[in-house]
Amino acid sequence: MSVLIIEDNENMCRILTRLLKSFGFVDIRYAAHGQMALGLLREKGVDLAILDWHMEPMDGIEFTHKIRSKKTSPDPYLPIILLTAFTEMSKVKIARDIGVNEIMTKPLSPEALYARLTSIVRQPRPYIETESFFGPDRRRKAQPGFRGPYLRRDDKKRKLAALSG
Amino acid sequence: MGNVMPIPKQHRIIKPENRLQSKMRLSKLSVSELMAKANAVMAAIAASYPEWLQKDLEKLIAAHERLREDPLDEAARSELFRTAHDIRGQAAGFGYDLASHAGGSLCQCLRQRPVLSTADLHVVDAHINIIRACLGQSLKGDGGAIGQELVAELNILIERTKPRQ
Repeated sequence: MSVLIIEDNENMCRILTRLLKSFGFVDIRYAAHGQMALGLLREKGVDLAILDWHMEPMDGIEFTHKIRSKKTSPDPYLPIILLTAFTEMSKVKIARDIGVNEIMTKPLSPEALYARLTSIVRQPRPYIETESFFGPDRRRKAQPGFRGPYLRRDDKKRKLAALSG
Repeated sequence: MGNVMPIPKQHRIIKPENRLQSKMRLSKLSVSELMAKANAVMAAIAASYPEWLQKDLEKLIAAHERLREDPLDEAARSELFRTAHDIRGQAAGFGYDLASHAGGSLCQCLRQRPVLSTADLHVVDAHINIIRACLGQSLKGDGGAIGQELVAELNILIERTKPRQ
């Protein structure tokens, strides 16, 4: 399984590489920023990308946006783990709504990295396509007591079914 | 980008083939053995982290010096932010929580202060001094009593020089 690390900080690349190797990954590739990564992906695909948010000239969010743009993307279903030191909820929502599969806040821990890798491989979420969004399902779990709002067409059917018992 | 997701009129749920499941050949070790191995990797990296932090500190000092000469030097400002951001994301992973805090606080100050006055540069210097103290006095974790004192002094300085809204 190939992993592309998209990160402009040498030290973080070293940490990620050594952790991934300790998990048994062998095929690890590198790009210093999003633009370089897109070029690499057009030449040869990878199975998974781990990238930083803050990079120049193309950051992790713009890269993810380009990957999830189906018409021009080299791989719209590429699983993406985004690393960030930004922990504010507003930032997490930006990452989620742009189509990131998993978000991992720094500092990096082996447990957190392993959990995200296994989640992507063993419990992959379906992809949702709407007029304004394409990416992994933003709903991670069913909430039994959920009272709405009901946004999807299928939700209305579910709501009616629930009401009718 | 707003925080409120647009209501999709129509959506499509796509379940792409799980191409990772068959490729995932991680180590044959148990999860606890894997974590022990990965944590040993992190411990080995931690031994060299002070050298990495020293290099980052030198970058901060150099960028600060350039900004003292020209407060509008965008490249120096960008280098300062980037390096502080890296410290924020890495230091706590290797026990330098106080340095990580100083890195995060410096990023926040730079975001709030688009143009750096002499007083702002003094604030930058105070952040750098905390990171210098972390290395020079081996202040791990929150830095104990010394760390608390340094943070309290820093917070007073930040508050005193905070730009008015």
